[in-house]
Amino acid sequence: MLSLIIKDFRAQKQYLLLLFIMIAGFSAGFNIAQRVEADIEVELYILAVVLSTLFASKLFTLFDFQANAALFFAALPVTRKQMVIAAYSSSALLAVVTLSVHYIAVVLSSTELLRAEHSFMYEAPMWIFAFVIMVLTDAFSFPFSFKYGLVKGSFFYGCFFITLIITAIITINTLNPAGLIYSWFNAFLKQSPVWIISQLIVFGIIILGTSIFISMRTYQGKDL
Amino acid sequence: MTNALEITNLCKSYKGFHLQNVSFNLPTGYIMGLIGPNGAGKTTIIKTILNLVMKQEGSIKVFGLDHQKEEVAIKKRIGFVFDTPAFYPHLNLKQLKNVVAPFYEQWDNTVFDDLLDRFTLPLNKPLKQFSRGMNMKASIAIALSHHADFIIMDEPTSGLDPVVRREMLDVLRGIMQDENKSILFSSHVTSDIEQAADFITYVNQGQVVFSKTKDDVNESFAIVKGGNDLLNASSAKSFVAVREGEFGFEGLSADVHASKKIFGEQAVYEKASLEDIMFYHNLKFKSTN
Repeated sequence: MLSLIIKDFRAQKQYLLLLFIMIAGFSAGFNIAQRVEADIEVELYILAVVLSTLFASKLFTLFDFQANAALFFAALPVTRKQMVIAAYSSSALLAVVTLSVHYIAVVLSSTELLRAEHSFMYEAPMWIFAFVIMVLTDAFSFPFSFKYGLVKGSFFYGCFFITLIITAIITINTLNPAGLIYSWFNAFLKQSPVWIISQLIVFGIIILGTSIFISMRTYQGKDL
Repeated sequence: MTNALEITNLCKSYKGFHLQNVSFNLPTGYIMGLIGPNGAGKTTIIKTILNLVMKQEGSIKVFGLDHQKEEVAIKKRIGFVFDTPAFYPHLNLKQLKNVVAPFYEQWDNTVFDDLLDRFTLPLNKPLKQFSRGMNMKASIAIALSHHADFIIMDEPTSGLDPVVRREMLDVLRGIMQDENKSILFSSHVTSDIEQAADFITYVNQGQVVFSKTKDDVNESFAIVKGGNDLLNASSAKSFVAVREGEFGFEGLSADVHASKKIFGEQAVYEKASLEDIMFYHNLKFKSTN
């Protein structure tokens, strides 16, 4: 299975290199712009980090789709299960590398003043949080890709995601602040940070495990 | 005699297409040509063997092993060539080799380099700049470089010029110098099958029409020509299909000896080519549907 993960890095290394150079340039550029007093919202930078990492983590899937390579690799001595696990692993690995490139570039291009101004950007929680977002995105999007392919899968995932957001907004706006969900949420936030993070990690693992299971079941019976 | 491939009652349904009870065997050490018109089910059969398409019923055994339970062990011993090469187009052959080789314990760089020399394929040119013939040769080089015991090819010669096609068939004959190797290749170019295959399996509309040795096919089928006066409801039944013209009839007989008993010296008997066999069977399918 390692060969399945490594093959993408081998095959797409020049594009990866190019992408990482662009990402490093972007993160360094953000700090350089801050130094010349350009007023850039940090929230926008964080959004750009998340989106660029999302794109990078899907890079191998995009290349496989473009070359119709799934058929070729499924005919090699590998199982569908291995292909699914390799897809999740490659995506998570790419997310880690991309976030690391962002982090290194932003640290190297910063000044003490900038670090003091946006201290949270130089601390681990923000980057761990970005990674968790990536993993959860994969967890929700991969089952759609394995079931319907990249184009249809992205469409259905988009629909699912929008429905999820709208439902969340409507629920929040219609809930009684004194109601059960609010009080549960408040009680959750009052716990110790270590306990909150532990619970989130367990929740993430359950979501990811369920997602991998669904993807395996789906891809196992799929005609390529 | 052991079988490299055993397919029994294979069924698969898509919207508007059904593979129905497909059964045939390929003995080890032989080449089998899978023929049939476009959309007959050849690619579906090949994809099902490779577990790229999921069967609904039936069994497939490769080297005597279940093709799903022993998928990895089987695929290690299989080389495959698809009709459309599905490689990353920006890679060159050297890079592609580095991507594919780690999947095979038996990968042999010497064999790969020899095949590239033989096919005069450049190592450092991106695959997107390859012609169709070069891409096919590259696919074959990849398929043969891990000492595969069973080569599966889907339309390897379609769209190739006659020179490249001949080269390709020479390669297949070269592989068969080793009596433990077997080849299954599909094509609708019947001349290729006639040149290279030991066994012929003819598929039409998802059904196996026949699966025989090439000699059996040559001996049993014949084109029978004669005057229209010879043809009546009873004698017409002896044909797979028959065409009547102003000056006489022409039909495909699946049993030349039976036809000779019916028509005797009054009819002319000619060897049926695979193209004739496919054409008349197709006529039969059209008339029955």
